[in-house]
Amino acid sequence: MTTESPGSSGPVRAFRSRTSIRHLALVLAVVAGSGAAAATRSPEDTAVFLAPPTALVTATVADVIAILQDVSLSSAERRTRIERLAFEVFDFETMSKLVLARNWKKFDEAQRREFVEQFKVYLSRNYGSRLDRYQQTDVRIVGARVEPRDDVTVMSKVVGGGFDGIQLDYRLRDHGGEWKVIDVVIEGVSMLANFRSQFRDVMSKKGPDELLKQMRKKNAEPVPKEEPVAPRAKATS
Amino acid sequence: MAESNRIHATGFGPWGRDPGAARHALLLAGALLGLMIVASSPGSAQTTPSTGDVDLAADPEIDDGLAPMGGIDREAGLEAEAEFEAEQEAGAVHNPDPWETVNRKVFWFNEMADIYFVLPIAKGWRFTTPGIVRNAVENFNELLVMPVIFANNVFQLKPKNSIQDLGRILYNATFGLAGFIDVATMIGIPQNDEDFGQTLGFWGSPPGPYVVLPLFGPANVRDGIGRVGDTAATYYTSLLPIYVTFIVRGVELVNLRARYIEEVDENRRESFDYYVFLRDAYLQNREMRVGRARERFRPAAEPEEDLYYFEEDEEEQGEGEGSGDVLEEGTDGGSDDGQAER
Repeated sequence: MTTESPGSSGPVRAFRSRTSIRHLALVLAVVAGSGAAAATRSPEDTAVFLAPPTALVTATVADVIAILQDVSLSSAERRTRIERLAFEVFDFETMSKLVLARNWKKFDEAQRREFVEQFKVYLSRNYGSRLDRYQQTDVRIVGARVEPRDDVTVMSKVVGGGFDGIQLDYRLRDHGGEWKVIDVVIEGVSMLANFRSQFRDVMSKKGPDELLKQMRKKNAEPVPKEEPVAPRAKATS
Repeated sequence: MAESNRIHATGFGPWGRDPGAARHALLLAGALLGLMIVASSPGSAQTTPSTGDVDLAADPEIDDGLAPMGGIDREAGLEAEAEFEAEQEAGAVHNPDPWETVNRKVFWFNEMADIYFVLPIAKGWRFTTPGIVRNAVENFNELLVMPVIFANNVFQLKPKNSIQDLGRILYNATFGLAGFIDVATMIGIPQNDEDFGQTLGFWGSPPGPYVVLPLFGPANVRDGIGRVGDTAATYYTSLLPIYVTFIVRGVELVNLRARYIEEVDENRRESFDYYVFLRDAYLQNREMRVGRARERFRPAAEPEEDLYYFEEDEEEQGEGEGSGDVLEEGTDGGSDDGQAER
């Protein structure tokens, strides 16, 4: 895989502006039922290519749901188990790089290590604290597509619970035969893109130290005990 | 900004003198407030009409149904997208929020209005009503906005979806006891998700700058104008007495807000900058919906290359190359097609 510097992007731009070719490419892609690699891979190859990441997501999702619905577990246990799964399937280092983008270069070795660690903790407490609300939820895998440069997006949909019908996409990248999740896109909202915007602000005004400081602070705050949803919760009046 | 002026001009000003205008304004206010609340829960950024689904698995089927019009749709969408992309390329560093200073102030005001007014009522509402009532209210409000969805499917030349919308209206208004029970979903009529902002996007309108409307929340210029259009499609409700509209919209707003109490709380607490969090989530979600309206999918507001392929940029730097937007070269011949498809 090579990349082009901005100066040599002319041909690409010219190529893109030719609508008829674009249209043809689109038709090809649609026919093959997949994205980027449509022109180089046969539909069978695409299916083979998509199988491992799809299987990984399917299995992980099934595990998570089994844990969520296991009433014998306390909510702390549930959280720990799901965390363990998440740490296996997410590639926090790639995520950290992508989330910081060009600012990654401003971090030295130690700061990078700390960022990856803090980001991991942050995500885990941010999403972990919500888990108890997702007990009624099931997730159905609805498809997968190849992205440019052979990333894969596995698409799923939430069935039941308070978030019925929500579209959840997992973007995966192959690291030498091992697929890892690098982004979660909820109803079109990419987690990476969202954090990137938030961090960009801090980075442009301050710097790595300030960002790390803020993350440490957030991670040190106690996770507030969630108010139970049931009406009995409040004994007022 | 233009719309917010308009709201004041037609709405709160002539309140007592012209009940028609006041009704209209209230309708608008209710609809927009609802949208604001929905947009403030991006983790679950579904609007009321879309609690149903756009079934991915069923997509090919929908395509078949569209056979005579599908080609036209795609063509139009494609051209629109080409324009959009050209635009994106022209402005290398595209800032979606040039009015940030003002937006942040309005945003703060909206937050206060929510925290001190809407949220307490929503908490009380959830405390006092059983879930089944809240679901019924949601179903009812879905029926109320169906004409909007229907009209927009017509504007987007989607006959199959339009007929689905009519079917929903008929079933839910009758067997669903005036909308309180979602019979249509039970018998498998999908809930479509369309609004006038999506229709404008479908026909090629760019989103325009991000703007936070007072009380009505996040929008961009295109979708803000779209909301005004959508209000026109529910104008029939203004035939009812004004207080009915007021109650219905008020209950809808509170009911919707009650659904997302925890989500919003968590997002407020956990985000590093809630304003940016919400802006990004809103813009990305809208892009997806417009992309969906065009029957294609555009994942992120940010150009994808930039989002997912930073690493290569770094390697390039190591080789002494200048940084910048990383464009893919089609070494395998396939990636260009991939880009074009997007």
